[in-house]
Amino acid sequence: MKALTVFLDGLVRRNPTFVLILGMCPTLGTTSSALTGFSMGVATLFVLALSNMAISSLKNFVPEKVRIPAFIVVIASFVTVLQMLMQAYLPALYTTLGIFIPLIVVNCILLGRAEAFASKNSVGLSLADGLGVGLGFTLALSLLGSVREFLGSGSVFGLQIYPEEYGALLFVLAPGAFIVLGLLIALFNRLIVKPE
Amino acid sequence: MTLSLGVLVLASGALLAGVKLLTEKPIAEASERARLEAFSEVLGSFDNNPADGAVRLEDGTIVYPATLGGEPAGGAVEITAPQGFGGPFSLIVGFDAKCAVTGYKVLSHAETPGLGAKMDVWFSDAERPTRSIIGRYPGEADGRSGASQQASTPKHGGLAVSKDGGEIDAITGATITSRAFLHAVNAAADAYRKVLEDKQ
Repeated sequence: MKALTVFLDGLVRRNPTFVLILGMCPTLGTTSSALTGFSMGVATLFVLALSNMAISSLKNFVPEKVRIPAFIVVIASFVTVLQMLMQAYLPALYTTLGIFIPLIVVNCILLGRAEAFASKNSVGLSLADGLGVGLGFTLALSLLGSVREFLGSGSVFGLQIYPEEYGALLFVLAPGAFIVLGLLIALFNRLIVKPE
Repeated sequence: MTLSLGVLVLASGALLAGVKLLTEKPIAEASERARLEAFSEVLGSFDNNPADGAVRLEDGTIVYPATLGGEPAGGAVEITAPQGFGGPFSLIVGFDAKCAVTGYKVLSHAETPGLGAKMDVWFSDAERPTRSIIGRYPGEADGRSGASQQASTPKHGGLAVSKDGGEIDAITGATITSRAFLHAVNAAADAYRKVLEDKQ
């Protein structure tokens, strides 16, 4: 039951993108289309779940003073594993996401969850937290990518809805990312999080 | 402290070495498969393995001659465009025996998604002739041979974006990428002609 609460917390109440406003670099950088946003979210989810579990199981082994370098070693290892696996089995997606895959190492969501949650909780709860936060990130990136792709290129997940020429290029570019993100944050907090 | 960190680093090193061993072959196979697929995508009909007769030029450009029943049937050129918006990108361009473009494929790039990254489909859009480079005769040099020369070929030879006086529509919002792309296609055509001439 506690695991479920932790999971939902990460997904909604402490959504990394819409509530904590963390990991903005990949959020703004990879959401020019729904598919790239979604893929980036799944890649981060994969690393986050594994690194949360690993860091939680190592919490008694790693001394307090060197915990940050230890976290980085763990996260960087999983990112490299992911990178090699994607290169071998999903080469097309690997080419699309390019530099953003290695950049997962410096995504502050991962280090943040390691420091704030995984290093203090059991392996099971850390996994639930990793899945919740990772899924929250994936949903946020997919949503942001869908809106930007719809407004900018007239399609969602590559499915053409209206002709591409009528799309506002602004939304594919960086300013559009900021505008849509800002509106989505407002909407998400008004409708779902609902402050008391 | 040092010990635990050392153990951790050793363990991750071992993990990475293991995954590296496991994925080394699939990665090599995937890139080999991508290359073969690229040949059949960019070239017309051919029945040899173009990689067998590959000619590597000084600047790293590779020309793969294709044959059909022993006769020359065009060729593919693997070339790097040095001045992409996100750094160099590499592509493979197919030519028929008369040096008209039969197709192209972007092999790797770091262009902006949604902008420059659109180059993988933009320049082969059959419905929009002002974007497509298929069937055109690129090349920087005065090598525009072939009687079926298209009237739309720019006067000074070579493909260029309309902003620079050429005939090709640049990708919306990605002129730098478009220039780098067309420049690479021109250079590829030159490399292809050079290899053909050397052979004769």
